[in-house]
Amino acid sequence: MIKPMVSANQKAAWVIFRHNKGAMIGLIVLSFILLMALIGPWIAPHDPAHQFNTSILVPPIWNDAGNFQYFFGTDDLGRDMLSRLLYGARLSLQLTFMVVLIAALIGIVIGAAAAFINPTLRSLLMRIMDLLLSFPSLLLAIAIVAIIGPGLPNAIYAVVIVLVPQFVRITQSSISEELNKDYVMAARLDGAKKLRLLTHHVWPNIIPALIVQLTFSFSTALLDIAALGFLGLGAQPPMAEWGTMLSESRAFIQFAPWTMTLPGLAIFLTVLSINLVGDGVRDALDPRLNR
Amino acid sequence: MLSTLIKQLSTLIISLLGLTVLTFILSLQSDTPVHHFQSDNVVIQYFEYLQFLFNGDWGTSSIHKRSVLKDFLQHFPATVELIVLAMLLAVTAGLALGILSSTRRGGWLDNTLMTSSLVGYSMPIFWWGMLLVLLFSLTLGWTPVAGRINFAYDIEPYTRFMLIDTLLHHNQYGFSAFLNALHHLILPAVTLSTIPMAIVARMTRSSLLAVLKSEYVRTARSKGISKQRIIWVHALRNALQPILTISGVQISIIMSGVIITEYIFAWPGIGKWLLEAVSRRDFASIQGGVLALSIIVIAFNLALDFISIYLNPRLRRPS
Amino acid sequence: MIKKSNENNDLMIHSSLYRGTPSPTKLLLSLVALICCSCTPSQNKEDSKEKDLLVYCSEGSPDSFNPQLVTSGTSYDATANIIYNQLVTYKPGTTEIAPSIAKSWSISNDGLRYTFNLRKDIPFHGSQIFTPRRNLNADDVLFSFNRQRLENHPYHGISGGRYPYFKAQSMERLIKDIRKTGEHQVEFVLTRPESPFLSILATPFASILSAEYAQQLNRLRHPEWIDNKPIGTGPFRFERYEPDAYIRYKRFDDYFSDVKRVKNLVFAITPDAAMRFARFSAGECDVMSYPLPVHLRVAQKNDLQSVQTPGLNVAYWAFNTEKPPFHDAKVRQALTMAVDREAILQTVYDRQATMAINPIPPSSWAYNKNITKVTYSKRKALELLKEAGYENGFSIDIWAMPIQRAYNPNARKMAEMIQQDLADINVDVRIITYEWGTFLSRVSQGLHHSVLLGWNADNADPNNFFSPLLSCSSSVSGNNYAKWCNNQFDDLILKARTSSEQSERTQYYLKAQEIFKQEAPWLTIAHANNSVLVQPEVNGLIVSPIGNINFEGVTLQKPINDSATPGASN
Repeated sequence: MIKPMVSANQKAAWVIFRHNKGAMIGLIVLSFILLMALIGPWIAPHDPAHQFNTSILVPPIWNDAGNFQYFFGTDDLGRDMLSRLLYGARLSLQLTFMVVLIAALIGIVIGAAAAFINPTLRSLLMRIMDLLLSFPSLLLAIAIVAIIGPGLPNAIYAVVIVLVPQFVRITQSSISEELNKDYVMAARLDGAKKLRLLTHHVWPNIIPALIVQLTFSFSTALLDIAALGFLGLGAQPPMAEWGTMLSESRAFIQFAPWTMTLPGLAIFLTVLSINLVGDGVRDALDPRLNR
Repeated sequence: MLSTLIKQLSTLIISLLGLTVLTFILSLQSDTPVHHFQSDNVVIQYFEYLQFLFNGDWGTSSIHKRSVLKDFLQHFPATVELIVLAMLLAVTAGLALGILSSTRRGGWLDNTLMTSSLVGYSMPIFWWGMLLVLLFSLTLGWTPVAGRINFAYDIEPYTRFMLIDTLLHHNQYGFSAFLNALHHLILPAVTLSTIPMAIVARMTRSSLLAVLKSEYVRTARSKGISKQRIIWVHALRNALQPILTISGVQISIIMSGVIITEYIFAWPGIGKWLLEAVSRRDFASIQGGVLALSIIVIAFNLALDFISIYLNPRLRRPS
Repeated sequence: MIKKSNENNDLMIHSSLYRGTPSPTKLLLSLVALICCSCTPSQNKEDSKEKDLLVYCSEGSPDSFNPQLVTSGTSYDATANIIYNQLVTYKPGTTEIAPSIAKSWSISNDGLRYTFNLRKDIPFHGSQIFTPRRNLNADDVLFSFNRQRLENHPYHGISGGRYPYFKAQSMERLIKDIRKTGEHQVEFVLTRPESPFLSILATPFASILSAEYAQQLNRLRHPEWIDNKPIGTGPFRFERYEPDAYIRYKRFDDYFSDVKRVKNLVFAITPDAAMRFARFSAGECDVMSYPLPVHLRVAQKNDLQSVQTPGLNVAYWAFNTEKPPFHDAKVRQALTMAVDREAILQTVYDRQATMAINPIPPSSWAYNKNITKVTYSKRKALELLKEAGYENGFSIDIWAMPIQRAYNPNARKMAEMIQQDLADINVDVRIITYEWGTFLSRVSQGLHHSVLLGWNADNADPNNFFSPLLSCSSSVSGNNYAKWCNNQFDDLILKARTSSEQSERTQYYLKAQEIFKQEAPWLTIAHANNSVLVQPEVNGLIVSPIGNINFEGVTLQKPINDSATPGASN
């Protein structure tokens, strides 16, 4: 029986990843952000929802008018920016993970099922997935939110629906590709049943592709959730979601640029590091797709 | 050839079907009925809905009491102007950057450009737009904050394409109105073009690299033909195919991006109109807007498919 | 072999065609040059001042350009004092009646006949489709009112045939007849004495349209243009409207008053308050409407000017007395005691309002100073509920209006705060909202349980609060959303309405307010300030207590110090 050659690849993958400077930087930054998200509630100096009425739009510490009490300044309702950013990290990352995992679960199951059903049905299903994928994601999210109403839970549903087709497609195409390979043919000739084929032979070999898709979905999900928050369709004020914080800062960019630059920077750095790591993972696992 | 046509047609029908079901559901959410249906049966209502759409009755906005289709067509040119300029910027700058970095592979330019494209790819467009406003409009005072043109220019909306309308007024204002309109267009267009530019640059670079390694190019080089001519003559033509493919994805990204850009710059186009409809729960306008925008995306993708098939005969055979 | 030479030919032919193709670097540089070309330092402010242009950032699009057809403040702002005039008006910034189209008037002793002498020198606007051939006369006044009053009037059904303000004030029952008693004299005959009548005639719905224009439009077979291509007598004439974008007006040079005003007026429609403030801060608007409380605070901190005045308005929480448990006055009183209004004033209004004790604001001459505010005590509220038999708690719905108004910048937030307060006394609150048009129509039908709304007075007479909002007739078909009908109260306000002696009227109103306090059909919440933000070079803008924007007497001047803050002042 031909064993899938994964373990050797795993070691090789890590070596490639480690030598990729960009990916390593991304990994460090991402780990830092994750750490902040985890310990946020304990190190946040203030309650993110508390409004200090006498300290509206206080600048951050590096400005003359700033002070140590509000390290990154305050927003238009007198809430501490640092605390809000920390809680926002927690919220944004939690949401992103949740959304991606749900979408992945649904998508992979559907995609796996699709690889084994009759070809016309499969082709129809994939055609529908392609259509959904070509649909502008924000437009789809807006349509969904318009139907079910604005608010965080609904934004989550909308982003999940937007992400599922990607997983369906990658799962289906990867599995189909594997199914045509020699070692699978060999296993089949040996008498292996479909399910065993899937779990024992095919699955370990499609994991790399799925992992790559997962990492890119993380960045898409984070951006989409923040975008919906920014447009007022996702997390509603006073939730400390980064996109929502950006939305609230719009009126005061002129007087208080930090209320805009800091949450945006948080989103940007997180997405960038996820993309760096994603690029690195892809390079490590699938060297054929050399840049 | 026939089978691909059938394939395209069936795709088109399925997408329109799915789309109209979605917009039908949207129209049903409205507190005041968008259309008056004769039947009580939801399925028959759906077909009545399709009939209304064919006849050009896309509903009446509950807020402004205007025809939704008319509203859409009035706001549409502003969006088109923005998208066209953004696409132009994205393609020209993206191509140029991609070419530059592929010819100087591994150099500082290549690395900077690759990093910038990754940065552009990861940038939340809503933040980027606001940063540009902070720098260029508020700090430097070079560009305006919102709107299509300074109100000092009284421009009658003949075509609703500001660049054209300002030129039509050149008896009154000379070219200053046109320049002012361009002035207002620059920042939103740059904001919108950033992500597509990054994608085009990356794509151009990788496909050019692949082509430049190929045999016949090496042959050409050995004949002494300059790199520049090779790029322009052969490499680009072959590299164009994958770029065309991702243009389909580009239009989605641009559609999503234009909604956010119009929101940030108070640009009176479809995106802003749609968002205002959502916040006012004007479902007639919401379903009309979603329908219209999606039809545009579908039409664009269809056109792209046909162009690809025309350019690449290999695609004509069913896979 | 052959292939190779073909290839060579191809390359050679192509290379000759492409001789002199720009390199990518040059392309990039030219692109950058193009971008920089249009990035000259902003000429915006200079242009505006040269053109004597005032930009007003408004909060919405008007529903119609005929104030007869609408009741929204946004529509009135775009028309009433801009395009039109009324028979009488208010002295700027006050609630005192002054002549406008009517230069003088007399009232008969029995209060039933009002005779107005019209000015002879009032021209109408001209446009591309209309050239007026005469000045305003009695025919125009008759046309304007009869269109609304008489169902068989040829223009009655045009543009929908609904005259909400006229109907809400029951004008057709009040006005018995309107007679032309001279080329420039009109007589109104009323069915009963109505002291607020003059104030009513200063209201936007009483704007005077051109009968001549109506005739012309009939000939052109486009009667509906009277409502969307408006012609009036006002200080500015309508030029163009781009939905959701802007309205352009030009100074009407033949205006009958020589009050100073700018040459060009633009309403830049910006419904998003954050965007409005951003545009104002960047100097793209000269005046900003409906600043949120936080905008005012930030403006203050950054030396931006605001013009404020206490508004003739009230925000209230009305209990639908037709639905249990609100039929019980004790329950209503209990709920009023459980709400922390100070917190609402702080959070929702940012202290840019005063707590409302009575339904009318303190600036009204009928205000009852002796009534004390409702005590805030959850304990007392619980006791009262127990007395009424509701000690186990119950659930209620609060309908919150979906839009912002000066008198209520955030009904949703208010509802949430009330929800929290009531949770402490075992009352469960569900918050409901709809799109504005639907919301209003459902509330008018009495479908709500309780509702958070408000009222901005249309005229300065106290009757404008009591009758439309709390009378028995308006509980059936008006703005009395508490559906409250108290005979004693109704009697008092009717007497106040018919009496012509202000001192007598005051007494009636004082008593009525006492009954209101006892019966508590509402929890009165706040009277908000009316404010706008203005750039330093805007002179002469006065905000009226009843809120419609007026640009008469407003001019632009270069400020004295020339320090150029980017985009702001110039």
